[in-house]
Amino acid sequence: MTLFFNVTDAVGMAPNHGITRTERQLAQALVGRADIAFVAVDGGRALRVDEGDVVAAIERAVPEATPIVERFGIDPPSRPPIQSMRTSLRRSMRAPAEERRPTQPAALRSEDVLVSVGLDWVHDVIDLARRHRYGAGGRYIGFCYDLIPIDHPEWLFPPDPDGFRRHLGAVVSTANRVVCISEHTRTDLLRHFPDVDPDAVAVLRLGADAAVAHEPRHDAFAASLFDGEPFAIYCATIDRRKNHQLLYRVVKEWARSGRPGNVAFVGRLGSGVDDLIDCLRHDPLVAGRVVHVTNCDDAHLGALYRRAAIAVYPSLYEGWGLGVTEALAHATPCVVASGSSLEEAGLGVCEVLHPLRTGQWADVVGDFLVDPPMLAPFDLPTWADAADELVRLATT
Amino acid sequence: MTIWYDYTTTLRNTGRSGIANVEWSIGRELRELRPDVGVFASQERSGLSVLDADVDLRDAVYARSGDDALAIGSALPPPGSGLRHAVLGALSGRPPWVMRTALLTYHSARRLGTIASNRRRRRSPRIPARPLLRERVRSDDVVVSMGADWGGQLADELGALRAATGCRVVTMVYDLIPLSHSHLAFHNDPAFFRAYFAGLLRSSDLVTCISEQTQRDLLQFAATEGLPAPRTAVLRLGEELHPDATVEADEVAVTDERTGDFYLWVGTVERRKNLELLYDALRIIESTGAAVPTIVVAGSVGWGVSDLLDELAQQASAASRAIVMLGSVDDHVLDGLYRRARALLFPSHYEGWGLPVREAAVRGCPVAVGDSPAVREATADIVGATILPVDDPGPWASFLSAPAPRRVRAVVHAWSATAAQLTALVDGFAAGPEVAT
Repeated sequence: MTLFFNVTDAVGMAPNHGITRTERQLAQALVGRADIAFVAVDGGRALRVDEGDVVAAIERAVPEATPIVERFGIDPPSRPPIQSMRTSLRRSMRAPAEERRPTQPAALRSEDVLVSVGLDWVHDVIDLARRHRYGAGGRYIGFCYDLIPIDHPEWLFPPDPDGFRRHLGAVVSTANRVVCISEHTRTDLLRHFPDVDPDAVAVLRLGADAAVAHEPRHDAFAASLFDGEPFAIYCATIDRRKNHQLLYRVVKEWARSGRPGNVAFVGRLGSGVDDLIDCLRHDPLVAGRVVHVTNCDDAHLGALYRRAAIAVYPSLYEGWGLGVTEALAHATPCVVASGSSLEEAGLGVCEVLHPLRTGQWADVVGDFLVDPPMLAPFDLPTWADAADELVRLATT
Repeated sequence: MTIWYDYTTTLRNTGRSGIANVEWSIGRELRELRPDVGVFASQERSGLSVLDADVDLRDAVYARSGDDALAIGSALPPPGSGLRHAVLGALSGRPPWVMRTALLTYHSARRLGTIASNRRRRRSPRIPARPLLRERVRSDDVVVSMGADWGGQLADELGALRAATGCRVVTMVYDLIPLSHSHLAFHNDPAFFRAYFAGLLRSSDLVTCISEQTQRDLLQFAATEGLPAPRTAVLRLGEELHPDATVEADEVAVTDERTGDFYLWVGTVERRKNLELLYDALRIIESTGAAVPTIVVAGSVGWGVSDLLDELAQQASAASRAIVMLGSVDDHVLDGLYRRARALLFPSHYEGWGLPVREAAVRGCPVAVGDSPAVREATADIVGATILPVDDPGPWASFLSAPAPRRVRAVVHAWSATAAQLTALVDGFAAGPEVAT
């Protein structure tokens, strides 16, 4: 029996965050194991991807980068990382054609398992999965990150709840087992598809490994962010759902009450936040107290986590909370929002607050900036653990 | 001495606006008080021109009654719904670049439409050629301009008139938000507004301000800019609505039995007014599983809230469905809303005064207001007003979850009193001494 792991997104050029990051981390953890093979899906066909190409693609996807910093209210608006785009383009031009575009078909047999954890609604994975499961009698393991497109279409640009519902319907009706990334997501899935056998829906705890690379220049960058002053870090795409608005309000409350405190947003600019960004860029009350870091590689991010007094995750809704476990992996205490899976991702050691109650966040985070809390002992899941569990769920 | 009263803002506005309302209401009462008041307006080609009040003001939006005249703008769908919704629906599932291109095109078209619409609005009224004001004004006359012309042309014209005739000029400043809170102002261009306010001060013998806070802000501006401290006075605005919906001066409350099942928001839906805070308060209530109260929004859609309106347009949560956008309403409807609402919610980040708060309170409507200096001033004599933070939806959620608040009490300040105060200030010129600084 061979486990065929779909790496369509992992070997592509997509940025290394969210679902693509998860697929790459799991793929990396599966490399070198017996009875594992990698495939990419193109036009509903499974194409074989060599291990070496997987490793090379993942290395390509996480290049060293020079962070771009915009201190809101002080610096001019940051521009897209032109240099980085050029570099990426050059890299992709240099890459051997066979690395970028697999062509050899993969022969999936009836005893094999197809596991797909990527952006399956973009690719034709379901067609392949149907043929494998019903045509060949094989096994297919589907994945579910969250049901945000159905439950909260207001945070999708553009919203397409019906399309996503159709996709998930196809996944649950085809898969031998659906793997959810949190108990919260599992509950949501069973709420929307009550006909699904609960025993066929499992939970996989994602991993979180701290960045290994660590040089003085990374720490120097982190120390320079607020001239040595303590700060809270929020690592997430600046999206409407991620609720950066709360932190803007918190900083305003701090400013009005004469409290110190700064916040670093790390992540690219997403959707539905034009008005917020405009405020941050022009509100004199918060000038210099909120910075936006983009184009940040793992080494710089690790340094920021280590330097930050506290990590915050006030997102209105999450399927898991990779940013929370990654903060904990760097031993950075974290304050998370209630109402979704973030409490789970907080592993029982994070302060939990309502994502819309500004006063609570202003008080708790403000206090932690002055006197960071001690982290209670916790059991941090690694990506190797996650890969082990995925193999077990796929093969039993 | 003759008082000349300016109707430029009234005539330039095809729809209703706060400043045009003030200009119209003061003018109406001033002409009652002093029938010999002359009226004028700035016209595009001839500049300041004398008007025939009976003829030229007949078609002004505030002179007409009936929904067709007073509800201009209410038929417009808010951005984020309607066409945009249809576009998004049609684009679902298409490649990202197609959607981005389509949305970019849509936004550009919308922006061009807004610019064209603004240009149409700023066009001067179609009034036949009238005598020039400078040919009528004498040196002992007082020219009163309560409106606002951000372009600065009106201020320049008033300055030139003063220089040519020796008359006195009285102007009005509503707020200095474009300078003190530029991120909350539509035109985020502090330099432009510094020039405007400096020009206004140069042209004025007396600047009236709608609150003590605005007066403080104006004097602070003059000091910061190194300008001579202007003569200023606080002119308290009236609180009645359209004459047909006017409350009596001694009428302060309606009975609790008339209380409706909704909360009320009044004002343009723009960034400064902070509707998003109320939406978040509703979301807090929704997260507890409790019933989400309705908030009726009476006001046209402004700027800086596209992301919020896009989210509300999805109607995907109880909180978003609980916000009912009425658009702009006429004074009769507004009067009824004030009388039936459980409370007026006014979480604005910053104001020059807080007219809706006063309008609500004098009708007995409970008020919950955001904590900002001028609004505190406006609520100072309202017994039972609730003041809440402007950046924390939590206390607002508590307010909205509590039993309906008791009706409040406040005494009406009539527009006639405003006109009387203005007349006294103008008469002060004849007496000679400083009015106030």
